Amino acid sequence: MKIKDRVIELLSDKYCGLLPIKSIHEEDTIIDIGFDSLRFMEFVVLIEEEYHIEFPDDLLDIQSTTTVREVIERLEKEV
Amino acid sequence: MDLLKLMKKKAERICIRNNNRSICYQEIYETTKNNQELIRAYTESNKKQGQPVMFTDITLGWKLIPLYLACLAEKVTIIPIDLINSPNQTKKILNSTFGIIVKNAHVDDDGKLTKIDINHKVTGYKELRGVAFVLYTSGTTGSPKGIMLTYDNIINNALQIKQQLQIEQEDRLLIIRPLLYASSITGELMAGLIAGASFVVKKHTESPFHSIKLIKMHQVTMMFLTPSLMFKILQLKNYKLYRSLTKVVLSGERLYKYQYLDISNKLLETIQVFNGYGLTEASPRISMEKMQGTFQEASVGNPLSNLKIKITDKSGKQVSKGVKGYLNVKGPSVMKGYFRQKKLTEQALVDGWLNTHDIAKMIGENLYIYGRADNIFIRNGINIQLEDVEELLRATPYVEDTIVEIVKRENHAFELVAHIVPTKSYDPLLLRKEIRKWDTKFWPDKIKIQQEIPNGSTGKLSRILLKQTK
Repeated sequence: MKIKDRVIELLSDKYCGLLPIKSIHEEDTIIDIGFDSLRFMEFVVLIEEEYHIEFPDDLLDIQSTTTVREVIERLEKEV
Repeated sequence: MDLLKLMKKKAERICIRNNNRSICYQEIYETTKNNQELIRAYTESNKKQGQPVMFTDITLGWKLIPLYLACLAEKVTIIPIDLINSPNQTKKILNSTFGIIVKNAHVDDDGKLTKIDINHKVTGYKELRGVAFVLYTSGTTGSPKGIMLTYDNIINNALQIKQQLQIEQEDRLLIIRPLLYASSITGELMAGLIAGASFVVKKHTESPFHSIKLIKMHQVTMMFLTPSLMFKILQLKNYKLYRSLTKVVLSGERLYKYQYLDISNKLLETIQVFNGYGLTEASPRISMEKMQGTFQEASVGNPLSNLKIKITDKSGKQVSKGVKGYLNVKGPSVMKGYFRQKKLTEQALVDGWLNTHDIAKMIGENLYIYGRADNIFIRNGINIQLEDVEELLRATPYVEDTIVEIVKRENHAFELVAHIVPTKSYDPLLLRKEIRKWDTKFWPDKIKIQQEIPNGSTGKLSRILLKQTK
């Protein structure tokens, strides 16, 4: 599975998110899709387990402008 | 106790570490004095009427310390507000109470107050005489519930906590939770100030994961957090950086066996783990357990020595030792009451006894807590009244009626599930858009459509009947 698809899956209600996959768009912000900093921590742990990487420090803080696309692009570089 | 006098004695010792900067007690003392002068200019003329109020934006972080100290010295009641996570609750508070308001733009880089805003007008509230803080635990719907904690409440509780945790002036405390909760205000900031310790305050916008970096960077010796947050942090790959840590204080939620076993396995053996129990109405700490490697389900240790404990049945009659009942506490750290909520205060406080609504039992001198007797759900250390979530859902055009319940997930984790009877105009995405406008603590984890939920005799959906149909 492509990283992009897997990230969206992990952000969905199948894993640690609130919305179904079809409701998550790359241009949505992380906050738009229902994440606060504590919920985002669950996503960080899932990513570390899945890809055996250390989650990038600069992505740990979710800004109000951070989009799903930015998270995907950043993780594509790491993995 | 005169906190400022205590601070003067510590003059050259470091009070705050922020990025690469150390701020000593003398500097905090001087900043506090500066803040006092400005606050006094705005509040002095109102003191005959009662005690004035200052609303403080909690994103101020460490800069809240000289601000809080100035308010305590000037006898101005502090109401911390969270504009980021609880904008609706904040709006409601600011619409009903007046006073001075301090946000980031009013404070310089050194924490000095340079100007002040006024929320409507400055007025004195008779009921707030002697009240140091009003802390709001719920209240997006209905009337906000503001817990009044007096100077004596806070200092008495902080002294007990300092003693139990043996906080020393050499200690460096990491404050992760915003200075909005009784746990961080009394149990961390005040207890630490009395000890003359130093502080690192995590920025509100930073992820809790940053705690790891802060511990390493500032050689933190003590940190305070909920068990679920500690558990989450320890799942990270780079958690093994805790060499300077000597104590971890868990509070805000029930500690479960799986969490404790994981935490004690992963942390260095030299780190002492404490499990604290309490509630905002009790300033907050009621008991504290020093964990000794073994785990007793529901145990929270011995109650603090200045508190009286009574376990009662529904009618208020004391039950025999070892029998479960409602926990009531009495002592110098029990709140003054709920601000402008006389009826609610009379229900909660009877002859000085606070009914905690927690189910408990005593075996010997040890207290055991089994959870809430009402519909309050504690998520990430924050109380959520289930009826508040239901009311918010009903106020949308998409929900005819609803019942919100707590569902156990794997590993004792819980989630907030909203069972809804949809209206004709129901659309899942539109409902989610409505939910995004709420304060984040009320967001349900799951929404389930229930066309046929049994009704109780009143015609309302019944939580009990819902459970019976499963």
